[in-house]
Amino acid sequence: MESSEYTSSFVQGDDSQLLSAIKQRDAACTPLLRTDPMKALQLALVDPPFQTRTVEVKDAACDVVCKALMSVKEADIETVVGALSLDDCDVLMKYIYRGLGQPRKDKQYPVLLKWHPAVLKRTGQASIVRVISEVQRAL
Amino acid sequence: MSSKQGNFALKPYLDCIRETLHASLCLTNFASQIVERHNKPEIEVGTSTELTLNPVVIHRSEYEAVMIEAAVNSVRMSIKVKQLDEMDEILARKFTRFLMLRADNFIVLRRKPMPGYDISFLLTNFNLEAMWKHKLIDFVIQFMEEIDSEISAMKITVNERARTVGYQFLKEFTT
Repeated sequence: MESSEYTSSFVQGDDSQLLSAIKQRDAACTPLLRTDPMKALQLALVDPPFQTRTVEVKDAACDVVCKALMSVKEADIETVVGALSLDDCDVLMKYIYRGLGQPRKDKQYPVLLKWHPAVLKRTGQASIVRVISEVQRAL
Repeated sequence: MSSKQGNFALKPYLDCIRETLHASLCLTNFASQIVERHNKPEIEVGTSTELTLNPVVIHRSEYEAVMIEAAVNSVRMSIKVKQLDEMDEILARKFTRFLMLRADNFIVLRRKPMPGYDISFLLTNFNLEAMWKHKLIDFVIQFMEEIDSEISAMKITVNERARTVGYQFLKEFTT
């Protein structure tokens, strides 16, 4: 029986370029964390590193986003989520799940577990389905 | 009730797991691509990478986590129960072993946990066809709540028995 091998359409990008982009984003976000956390989050969600499978790059990007998420006050979560575009909310959901999956990060779990229902209310179940099913565009 | 208090703290964690399970339990019948006329849970077979989806891990704390791995026709959910000291570890191991030995009665329980976790469930499309999806998810969530309360109740019983035994034994040596 002819069996066609599954060839993934994933193309590995340049890790060092992605890492430097993430560091630039981190530098741009850090001053905004105290003054305007909404802007910091929007900046952090730009250009997610989809084109790599390296754990360090993904973790670095996730750290930037989690720092922004932790600096938003609990009362403001709904407004911040409302201000994001739906595509950004999808990316944010992927980051939330990545943050919840990182081991030994006790401080960020309760914060992320607060953001999860807020993002879910905005985007619906589809965002979780995208987290699980988008294997080529995973974070 | 202490369980109600515990529920309040657990609620965001369990809600997140419930929503994730609800999204990942979209399963369809899928015959094996490798063996004719066979139908296997693809998450367990694991040879075809295009059939398995991204695994998701949800931590509540450093010691408590849930891993949900989805595929086209099956979902595997592994639970790491909170174990803070050796007594908890022994109790958790014995309790989960007791349950896993009787996995047939639970239908959706897996006989061996995934490495790094204490107990695992395997939900297939056939389970979903036979049972209500929301009830299956309720079952799994309730299982998680009860396993925590059972292990803490067992720990209290063990400590109380040890205290009573020690007291009765040492009573002989006092005047």
